[in-house]
Amino acid sequence: MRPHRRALLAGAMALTMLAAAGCAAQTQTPQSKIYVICKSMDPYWDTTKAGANEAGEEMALDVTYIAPQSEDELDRQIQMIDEALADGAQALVIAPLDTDALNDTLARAVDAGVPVLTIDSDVSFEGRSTCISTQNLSAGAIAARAAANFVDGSGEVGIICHKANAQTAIERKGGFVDEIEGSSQKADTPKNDPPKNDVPDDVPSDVPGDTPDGEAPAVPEAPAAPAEETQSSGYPGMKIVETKYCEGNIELSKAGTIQLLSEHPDLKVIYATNQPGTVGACQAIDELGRADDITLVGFDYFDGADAYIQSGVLDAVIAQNPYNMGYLGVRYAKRLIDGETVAASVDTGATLITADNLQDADIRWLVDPTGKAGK
Amino acid sequence: MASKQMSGESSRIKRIFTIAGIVFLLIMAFNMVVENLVYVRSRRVYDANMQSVEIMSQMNDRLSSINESTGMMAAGMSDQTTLDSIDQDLAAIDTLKDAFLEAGGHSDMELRRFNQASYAIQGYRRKINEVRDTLPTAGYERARSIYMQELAPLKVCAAEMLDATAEINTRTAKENVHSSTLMHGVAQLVLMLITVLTLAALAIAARHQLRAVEEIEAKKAELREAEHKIGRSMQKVEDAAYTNILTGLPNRYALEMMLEDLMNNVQFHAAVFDIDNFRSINDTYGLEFGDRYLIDVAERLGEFAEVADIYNISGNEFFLLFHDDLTDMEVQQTAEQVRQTMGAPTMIDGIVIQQTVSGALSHVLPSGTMDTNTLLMKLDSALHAAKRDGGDRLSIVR
Repeated sequence: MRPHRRALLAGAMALTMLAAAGCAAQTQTPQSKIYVICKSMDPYWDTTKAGANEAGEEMALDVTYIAPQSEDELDRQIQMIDEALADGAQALVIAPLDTDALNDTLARAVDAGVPVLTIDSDVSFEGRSTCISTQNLSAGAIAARAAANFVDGSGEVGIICHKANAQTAIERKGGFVDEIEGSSQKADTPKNDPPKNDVPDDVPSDVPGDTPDGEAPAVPEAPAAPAEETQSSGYPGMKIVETKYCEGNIELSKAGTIQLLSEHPDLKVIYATNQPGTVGACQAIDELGRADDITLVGFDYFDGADAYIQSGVLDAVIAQNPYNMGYLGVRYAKRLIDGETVAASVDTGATLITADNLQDADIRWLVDPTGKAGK
Repeated sequence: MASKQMSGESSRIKRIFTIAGIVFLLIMAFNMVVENLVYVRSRRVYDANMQSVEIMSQMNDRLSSINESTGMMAAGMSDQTTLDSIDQDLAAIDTLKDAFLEAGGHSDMELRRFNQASYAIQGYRRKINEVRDTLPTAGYERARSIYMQELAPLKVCAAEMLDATAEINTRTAKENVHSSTLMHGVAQLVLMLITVLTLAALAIAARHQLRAVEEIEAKKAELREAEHKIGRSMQKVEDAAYTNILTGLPNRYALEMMLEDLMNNVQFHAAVFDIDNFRSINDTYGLEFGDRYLIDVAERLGEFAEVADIYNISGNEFFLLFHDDLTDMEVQQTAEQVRQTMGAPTMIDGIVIQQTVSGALSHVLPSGTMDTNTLLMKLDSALHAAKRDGGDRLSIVR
């Protein structure tokens, strides 16, 4: 081949490669970098991680999931926030280990233009953009209504509570007690606060799909409810006789349950406020053979719950939706990065699992969104 | 050989142009096919996306309608119409769900998200069925709590998943359209490359053809030059055949050709002259000197070129064919002058030389029997007679 022909061919090839490179360049768009920081490496958070990762995959985002080894490592979680910021995180989705301790660090993030979204539980820092979580007061109330339905609104009630001073324990117990006793309570609805970025007043609040771009779905408005406070009528036939605080420990919960049943022979209902409490209560009732005369309403689905439900030991368990916390956390983080607005609070719901719906497809997905059990 | 090469080159160039034409036709055809494929694919993706988004939108509308109905139930404002409306909305959601799945062509991500939306709707539906009988009579506070705490989050979640499904579909559609566009771009580039290469081939072919034409022209010029040279050579050969090499005068062959035309057709005067005792010059001064003397004589004869054609028919023998406008007397006088001129003294290489000249003159009439040899023999005979008589004289042939 003569030199001039080679030059001609090389020129044509170069033109082709240049144009191809141009086309390729068009396809490359910078990915938003989002950090999801959960509370621990406990398997409970696996579904949150799955939800976050699937949202990242669907929206072509760079999602990094990290968590301290255990929930005792508050300092490590704060350190992780700093590391995420140093790594160029554009948004932080965090399940805070403490209501107040992270505030300064999160404030630095917000000051640096990095929006903060809390999931599972909230912080007292007002600069966070939204909280995506189970409304524990609501979940307690749902548990109370379920218990009341099982016993037709009458009977003594004992509570296995995990902590006296933990926020989740206070709210889950408080919502339950308020619903049973009918005491005055702050409207425990998803806050549905006006988004902090000044959402127009005329934005429809009940149709997520109809909201302007980036507007997170607001919770439907309460039906004709002008009151700031609501007065629950309660269940007069029911009486909460005692609360045992068992430190979220299965053995202590089991012992507490045995003690409750021993001390209150007319007890009809036991309400456990977290997963170890529920497991301990199940074991106690099962061992005592009290499945038929004791209604147990627990909190947080666990491996082995199905058997207790089917045998009647566990009458109902409140299941949270940690998958949606991760999924919506990342989804809303992307909206905030894009300069859009989201609702200040999102209730991911509390679903009551009973023997009647245990095998429903949506319940099976809820308790095992990653299909882990089938693998 | 060259002609064959030219023919082969021409045939090759014709083939190149033919192939180039076919390539261009194929390029155009391929381009049309690619354009059509891209359009059809993009259109299909667009339609599927529009359908998917529309289904999600309608499902969300139905969810909103159900939400409104359950709100009325919670507020104690519902009646059978409200319950019927919920049933209709739920049935419509089922129909829309089936339509979405039947449409097919969804990505795994889209199906995953739609399934989760379906689960959320299923939970919402179950909760509605659980409370539809109790909600209107539960009392305001409890109904409101049930609505806000149990129904609303499920509705919000379902709506969010439907939105996410539509977004995934839109994003996938954009990616598909983009990949189609990219494919189109690559195809265009390939076509461009082929076009460039074809044009290059044409340019090279054209260059070859130009070079071939130039070579043909060069060959033609060479041929013309060769023909010219051959012509000149032939002329020289011809000239040599009819010219005395020494004196440059027409020779005996030239004379014979001339006389053949004249003989028996016209009358004319012819004379032959010979240097007397020329041999003694050669013997005395050498052949070269003798040749130069003959050249000198021939040059001197040039002064009679206007009245006669002059031939050098042998070494020292000259023949004059007088022009026909002269009378016998004038011819005779001229012949005598010729003889005197030839015999005049001359200097060659410093040597003065003078030889007498004898001649024979004849007035030739067309008789029908005379030929060249006869005439020459006749003149030679008269010339030799003059020489025998002592030379230095003109013999008139009667």
